[in-house]
Amino acid sequence: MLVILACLKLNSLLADSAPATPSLSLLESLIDRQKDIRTVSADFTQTRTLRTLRYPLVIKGRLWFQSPDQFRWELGIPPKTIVIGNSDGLTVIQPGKKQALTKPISTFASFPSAGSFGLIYLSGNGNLEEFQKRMQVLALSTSGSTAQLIMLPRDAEAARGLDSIRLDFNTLTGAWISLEIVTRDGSSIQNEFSNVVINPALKEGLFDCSLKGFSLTHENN
Amino acid sequence: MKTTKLLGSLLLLFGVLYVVIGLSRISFNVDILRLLPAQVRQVKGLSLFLKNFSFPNELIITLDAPDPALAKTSTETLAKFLRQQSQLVKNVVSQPPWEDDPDSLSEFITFLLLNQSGEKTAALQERLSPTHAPLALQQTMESLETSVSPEEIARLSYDPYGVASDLADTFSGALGGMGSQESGFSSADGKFHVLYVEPLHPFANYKQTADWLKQMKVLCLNLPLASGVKLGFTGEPAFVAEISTGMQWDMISSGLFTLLIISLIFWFCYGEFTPLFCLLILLQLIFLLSLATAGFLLNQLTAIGAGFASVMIGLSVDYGYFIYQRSRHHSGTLRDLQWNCLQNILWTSSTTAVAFFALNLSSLPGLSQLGTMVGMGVCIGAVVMIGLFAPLAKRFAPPSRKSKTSRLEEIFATQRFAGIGECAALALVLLLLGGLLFKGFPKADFSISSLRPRESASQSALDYLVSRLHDDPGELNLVVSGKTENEVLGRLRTTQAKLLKDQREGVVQSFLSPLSLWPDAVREEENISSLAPLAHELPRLQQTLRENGFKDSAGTLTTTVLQRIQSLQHQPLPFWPANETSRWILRRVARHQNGNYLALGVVEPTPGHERELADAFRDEGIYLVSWNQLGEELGRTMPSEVLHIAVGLLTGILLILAIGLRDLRALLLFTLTTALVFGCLAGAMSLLGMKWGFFNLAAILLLLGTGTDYSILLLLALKRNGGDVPGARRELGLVIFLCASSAAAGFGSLAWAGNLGLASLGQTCALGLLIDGIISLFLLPRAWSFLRKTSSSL
Repeated sequence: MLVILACLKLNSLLADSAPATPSLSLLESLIDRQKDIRTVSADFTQTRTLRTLRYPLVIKGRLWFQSPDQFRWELGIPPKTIVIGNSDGLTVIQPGKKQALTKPISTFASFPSAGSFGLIYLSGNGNLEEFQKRMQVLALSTSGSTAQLIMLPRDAEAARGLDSIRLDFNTLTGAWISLEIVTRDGSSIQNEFSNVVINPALKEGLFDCSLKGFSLTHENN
Repeated sequence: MKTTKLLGSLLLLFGVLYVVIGLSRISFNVDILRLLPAQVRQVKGLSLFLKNFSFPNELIITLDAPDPALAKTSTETLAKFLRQQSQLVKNVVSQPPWEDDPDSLSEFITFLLLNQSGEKTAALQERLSPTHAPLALQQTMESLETSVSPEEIARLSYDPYGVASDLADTFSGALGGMGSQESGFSSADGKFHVLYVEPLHPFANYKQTADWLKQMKVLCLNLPLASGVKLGFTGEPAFVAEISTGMQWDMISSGLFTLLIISLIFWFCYGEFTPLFCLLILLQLIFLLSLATAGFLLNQLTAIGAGFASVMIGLSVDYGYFIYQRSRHHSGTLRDLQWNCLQNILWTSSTTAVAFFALNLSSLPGLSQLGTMVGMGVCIGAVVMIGLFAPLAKRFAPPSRKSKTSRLEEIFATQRFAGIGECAALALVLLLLGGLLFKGFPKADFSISSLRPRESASQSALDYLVSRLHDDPGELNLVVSGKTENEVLGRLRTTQAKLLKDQREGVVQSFLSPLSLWPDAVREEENISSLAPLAHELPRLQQTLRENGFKDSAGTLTTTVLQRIQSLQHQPLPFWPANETSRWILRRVARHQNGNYLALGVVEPTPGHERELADAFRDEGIYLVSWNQLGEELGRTMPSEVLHIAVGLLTGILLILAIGLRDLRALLLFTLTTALVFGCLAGAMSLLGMKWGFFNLAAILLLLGTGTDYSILLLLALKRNGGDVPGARRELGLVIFLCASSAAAGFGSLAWAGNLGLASLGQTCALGLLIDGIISLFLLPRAWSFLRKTSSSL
């Protein structure tokens, strides 16, 4: 859900400058103003609607981000899956199973939201041009006070199997509403955000992995 | 008179029919492995690989764009456009077949299930049992809720019982992954895409291939794709079209160039048009007759064989020159002239033909073919020249004595010219030997690139494709063949064990074995008997799915696979999957036809261990091959082979000359001259930066057969006229000049041939012939005089 982090950064800026009309220039100004963001924390509710399931799977979670690229994502309260990462790679931890998996950065594509991983970098120091090198903007539309940005990663492997990534936000307040990843078979993973805090003080060691007693697997390219 | 005319007409008709039918049988073979020794293991293995895993009717179109999204949309546009060309195209594949139709993978999954171990099958049986099925689904549901792997989420949502869960390693391990990149459709960055295009009908010959490709290129290149999008064309049809037309051009252009040079030389010497015209007509007749004969005797013309035209013309014209020169000084009957010429031409043409036919002793089929064709051409040339050109030459011979001397003949007869020539020849020899002394022998280049076309858009496109889709050009191809499935299976098991051992010992970095994709009839039978009964329990399994939160669609794969396994209960085994998806997956991994079974894998050796590894796999039917290893193996075997043939040939020539000359001094001079020619040739090559390769090594043999003619002719003349050096020069100076220059023109015209091997052969032979001519003409007579004086004073 790395894209969420970037989106959360955008959130604060959108709140400052809600656009009147959908335009790429809106993105440009938002992206440019993200340089002030150092840390983010938020809660989220994730809904997995899979084509072969009779009902959606709903789970709550928390995430933290620290500029330029560190993040921690916990799925489930208490966490069933924890992902800690930076630009070198990430570690997927399953506390219940006492298992952990490390992956190099080049396999970020296998991370559920890594299709939009470029946003992380963009959010810190990018511009619209950089953003468009990583992401293809398919549509940017408004309906009442809600704007929806539909996009796809340009990286072929990251975009594999994806139909689109949809980001909904309130154009008046800039508040994030949801982020949804839609796959080509019609399944989706939607995240609804709450308790978003920009530049909070983060706990020491939040992005450290203590894997003592865990069965550790390393995944190469 | 009437009978003679009738016979003449019949002969003409027969000749025309012979040429037409013979030429119609000519076809080109563009496979460079056909030029190489078939008994070399690397050639055997690569031939098996190419014969079975290349696709003669598959054009590969590459598309390169500055942006992945643009590349994707452009590929879709191009694929859609090509599918509409129903008059040219049968099928276009631009993405793995399973991406559009994931259900089609079920057949292949069935195949893998049937060939998995008994333990895995037992585990699956247990997972699907009434007791464990609900538990398995609960675990799947938990993974679907918490997994961060999109592959895992996708797989589990369509395979909640984990029917294919144990096959993931087989997919990724044996196939290198199922993504577009690994399956050969796009690069990792998405900017490079590949389309595979099948023509409407298989190609009957290279002309059809070339025409089809031309139309396809016009269509594709005129399609308004976005700016920055670049297309490339490769694959078998592109190579066949490019190389065949290139070979045709090489043959025609080098032949025409040789004829032009011959015409200029003849005109310069004699200044007469009519005999020149007749000579050119007869040379073309010789060419057509030789080519038609080749059409009857040879299956296909290789790139090297195509070079025969200019060589044969350059050699056959020698007989024409000789006859014409003789006719100008001949006052007897035609029969006398023909007899006189036959006595001389018989010596030179037979040694030349023998030398060229001796190329059949070489294990290089391309060279053997060139030898056969030139040998035939030389024989036909000698017959045509004596039979047809001699009467014409006699008719055109000027009546007055004065005009019988050609412009150059007078120059060759002067003492001053001989003196200047001797000094120049000595200086040249010293220069070349000095070059040899200081720069050493020419370097060897036995890399496979020396066999490829000089410039090839298809090769460039293929190289680019390989560089974009694969990251390790140093890998070796594992080719395992056998007469039955079981034989291949046994060999694959042996190979796997050996590779694992090599991996433990650090010789192999990694390998992809096709063992997991090769069917085992015994195991298939066991697994069918274990899994087929589960098909009766499908209603229970579907009900369990519903009770655990899954829709019926989640059980599609389980249902399809179990029903298919049930249907195989009474089918002959082993089972080979055959739908489009399965065929696409297996097409680069396995071949199974009656009596011809092959499996293909990839081995990545530890750098520095490539040769050791390739040499270690020498069991029957098991080959570890690559183009680099082929070059290395040929580099090890070819020089000694050429040396052996050359020694044999030289011994034969010396024996013939010992009988013909019956003079130890002449034999010694011949040997010294030949050695000096080769020394100077090596020096010249070093100075010019030329390298020894597969084909110009054969120049040694050809120079022994053709270049030695000049020294033989001079030695014969010197012996005949009692050692009169000026007399011998007067008699043969012009002839040797004409022969050497026309033969050098013939070989030299190949210097621009599309095939680099043929070009290097042409360059080396032309250089060697010129050196041979100069040494024979200027230094050999001087050496003869010196030896004669020395022996007299003794």
